[in-house]
Amino acid sequence: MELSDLLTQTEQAGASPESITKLALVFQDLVSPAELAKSLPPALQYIGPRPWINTVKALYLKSTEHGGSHNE
Amino acid sequence: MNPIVDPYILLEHPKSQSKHWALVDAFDSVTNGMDNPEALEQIRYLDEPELVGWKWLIFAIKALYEGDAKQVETAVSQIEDTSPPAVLKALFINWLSGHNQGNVIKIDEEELRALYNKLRLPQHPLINRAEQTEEALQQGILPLFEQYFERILFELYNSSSTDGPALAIRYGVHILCILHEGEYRLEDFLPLLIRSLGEADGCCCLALAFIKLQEHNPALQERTCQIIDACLAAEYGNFADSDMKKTLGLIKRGFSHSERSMQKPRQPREPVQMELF
Repeated sequence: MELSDLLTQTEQAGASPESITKLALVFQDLVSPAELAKSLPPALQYIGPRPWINTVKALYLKSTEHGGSHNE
Repeated sequence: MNPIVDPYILLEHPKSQSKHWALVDAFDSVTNGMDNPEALEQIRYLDEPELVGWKWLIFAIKALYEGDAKQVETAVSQIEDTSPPAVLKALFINWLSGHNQGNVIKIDEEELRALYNKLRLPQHPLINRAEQTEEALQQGILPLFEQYFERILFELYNSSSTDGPALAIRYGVHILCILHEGEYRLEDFLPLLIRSLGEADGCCCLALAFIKLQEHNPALQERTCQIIDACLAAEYGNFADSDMKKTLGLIKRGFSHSERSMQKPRQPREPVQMELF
C-alpha cells in the first residue's frame, strides 16, 4: 500500500493529525546524511577567550563615542 | 564606575582579587572546553555592576556550548544592555533562532558575523560520522558500521535538537531501508535499536522501516504486524507515546483488513468432487 494512502486511511480510522504529521516526517527520504544537519543545532568549536573579548572591545568601543569611558 | 571591556585588565591591577582571577579562569575554561567548577562556583555570586555582565556572558557561553537553549536565554536576559558584553547579545539571539526555529537571522555587525563564523564548524560532527557509517556498510565492515550506527542513533535521540527522537527514528528508518536493500535481516538489528532508542522507540523504528518497505513489498506486512505488536507491548517511549501507539495499532488493523480482503473466500466442495475421493 502507498504510504500516503496508508496515512490517509489511518487518519480516517481515528489517528490524531499530530501523529500522522510525525509519521510523514519520519518517512521523508534522506537523500544524503548531510540532510540531517538541517534539523540539528549548529555545531560549535572552542576558540578560546580572546576572540570573544576582542569582539566585545571592537563593538563596544565603536558604539561609544571616541571609545567612550572605559578603564583602558 | 568604569565599565570593564577586557576582564584580563583586572589581573594587571596591583590589588587584583581572587574574584577577578576566578572570572578570568572561568572565561578561559568555558571558551576552551575545559571544566573549572571551582571558578564557576566562585563567580556565581558576583554582583558588582562592572563584573556582573561578564559573569552572565560566561554562563551564556557555557550554555551555548552545551546546546542548552533555555539557559542561554536566561543568561543573556541577565546581561544589562549598558554593559560591554551586551554587544554580543545578537549572536546568542541568532543562535537561539537557529536552534528553536531552524532559521538563522541576519547579523548586521561585521565583527559579530566574523565571531559567529569562527565559532561554527563547517560540518556537523554527526554528519561526518553518518557518512562514515554508510561507507563502512558499503565496504561490508559490519562491526564498525554497527558501532557508528548505534552511536549516531543515541546522539540524535539525546541531542538538544527540538525533536531529537523523531530525527533519530528518521535516520534509523533510512539506514534500515539501506540494510534491507543489502538483503540483511532487519530483525537482527533490533537489539542495537533498543540499546540506543529504548525498547518502545527501538521497536517503533523497526516497525516504521517495515511500514515504509511494505509499500513495494506487501509480503513484509506480517513481519510489520509482529514488530508493531512488540512496540505496543513495550512501555511508552519519547516517540512511541500513547498517541503514536494508538496510530500504530490502527495501521496494524488496516493491514489485517487488507490481508483479509485479499484472501479468496473458500469455496465449498461440490458433492460430485467429494465422490471422486
